[in-house]
Amino acid sequence: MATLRKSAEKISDCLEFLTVLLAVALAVVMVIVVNVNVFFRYVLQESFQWVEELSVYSMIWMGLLCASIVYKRQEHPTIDVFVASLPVGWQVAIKWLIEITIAGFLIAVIYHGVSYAFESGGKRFTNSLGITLTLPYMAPPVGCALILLQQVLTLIVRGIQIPGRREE
Amino acid sequence: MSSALFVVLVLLGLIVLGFPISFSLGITGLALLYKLDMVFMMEILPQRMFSGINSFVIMAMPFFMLAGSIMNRTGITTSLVGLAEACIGWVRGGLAHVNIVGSILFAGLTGSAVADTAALGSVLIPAMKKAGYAKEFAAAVTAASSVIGPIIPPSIIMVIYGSLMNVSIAGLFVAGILPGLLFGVTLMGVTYVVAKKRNYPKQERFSASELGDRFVRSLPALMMPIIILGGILGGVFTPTEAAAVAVLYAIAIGCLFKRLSLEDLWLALKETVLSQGMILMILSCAGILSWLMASEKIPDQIAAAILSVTENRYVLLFLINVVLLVVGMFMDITAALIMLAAIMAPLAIEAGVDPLHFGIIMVTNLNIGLITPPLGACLFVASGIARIPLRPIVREILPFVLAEIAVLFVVIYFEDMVLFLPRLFGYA
Repeated sequence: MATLRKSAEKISDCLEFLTVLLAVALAVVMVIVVNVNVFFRYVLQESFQWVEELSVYSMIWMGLLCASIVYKRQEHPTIDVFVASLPVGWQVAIKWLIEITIAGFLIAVIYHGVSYAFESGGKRFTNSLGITLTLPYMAPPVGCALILLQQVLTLIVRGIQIPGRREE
Repeated sequence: MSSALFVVLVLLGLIVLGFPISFSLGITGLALLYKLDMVFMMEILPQRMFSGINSFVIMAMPFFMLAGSIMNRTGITTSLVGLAEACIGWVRGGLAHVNIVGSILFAGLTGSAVADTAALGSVLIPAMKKAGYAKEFAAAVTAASSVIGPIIPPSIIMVIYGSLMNVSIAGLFVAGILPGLLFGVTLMGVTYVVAKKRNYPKQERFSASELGDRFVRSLPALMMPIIILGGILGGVFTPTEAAAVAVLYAIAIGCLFKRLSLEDLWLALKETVLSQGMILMILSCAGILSWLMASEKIPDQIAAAILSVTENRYVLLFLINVVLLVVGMFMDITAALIMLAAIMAPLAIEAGVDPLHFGIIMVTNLNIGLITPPLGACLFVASGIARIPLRPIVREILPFVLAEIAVLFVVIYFEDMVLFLPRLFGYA
């Protein structure tokens, strides 16, 4: 059990690092292409259609990738003042209910997201980048899959976390 | 059960049970799909999560956050505090006034109140403690004045409101200036009364040359809001482009003064992408629910139900603001804005409130929630910096909260004050 916990922790941290790295790279791309576009428009009197698409798709990927880390750190805004006043047993039961319901939602998004990305997205092209919409449309299912993965890994590492206990 | 009631009950139930706001929105959408027998349309989930954040306008938010975060790490805050000190430090309760004026100046660099509390608090709370102020008061002033940050442009929640509600972000930015300054002046009034009563110290008067010197030293920081606002209002760039340029400017300043290491840059980027992971997830999940609600005309049903109680614009605004103040006490500001704007804005506009004016009302109101217990993000940060528990700060901050609520009601009922600048620039 201890080795399982340790390797889960390692995988989770490694995944977190790679996710942040990719997200930061996307953010850098966003900053650069939008600035380059401003520069070209004013200095060289020319602007690029693809800038908007490339930067927006980068932002969507960046945000949905990072949602998994925010989940791991339990930093998605939550109101737990009501639940925190319940007996601990109740809190644990409610927290399990929350984790399982969220997992169900994530699985729905992953399943339908992949088919949507390949079936609808595969047939359509973006306006100016000239690629199919599969890659942009994959952001929600991939983001949700990462959240699911971090959720399971976190449960293995730390077990269920209730509001009162988190601060310790 | 009507769909409107169903949505309200499920969403409230999930939130009270302790579901994260983002997932509460998404899961309520999923539940609504089942209720409407639209399970065959499950592709709505990923599709709307995508289109909920597929917007160039919203990109101003990560850029402004990044620019603020980089500016913070260059230590430019200290120069602004220095300038504020030379301007107003000589009044009774000098450092407390410096804190407020510092927040006003700093508001032009950052669009987030929490960043403001952290940046000014780490400099001024220790300094105030040393000068003989009660540390509870120091923490309270810092938190209370930091809410000016998102009211004076640039502002992250204004970007969110503008892109969700299709209101001009430039218009919102301009409209925020006067209310923001009014907040500052009012808080200084409260501070003056308290300082007089407790005989808090004044700082020395500065010579004109020292004032000029400090002004020059803070010029790089003061230029940033001028570039952002001037660029947007002058039609040079869109708010998103202005924000991207601000990032570049912040990096340039950091390099020029040799105060920005690669590690700083990495930390600023990391902080930004993580905060975006939280906000974009909420917006993304809200995309599911708001699309379904719109297709079922649920906001209209809710609006009709409330308008059947009262159609008086002033009564309606009063009720909306009471609800917002209560929600703001318990909920994260961006989450509350995203959740409630879709329902409340159409309602207010139906009753004849200007969309721009209502945007400022929502932003101002929810901001006050940042300094009210039990959940006030700025309170937490201030208590962390001052290393004192929340309760004594809450006692000290109460007069400030009351003053801010008073200003809020001025913002609500003096439409002409809020819309004066937007009209001047042709946004209203």
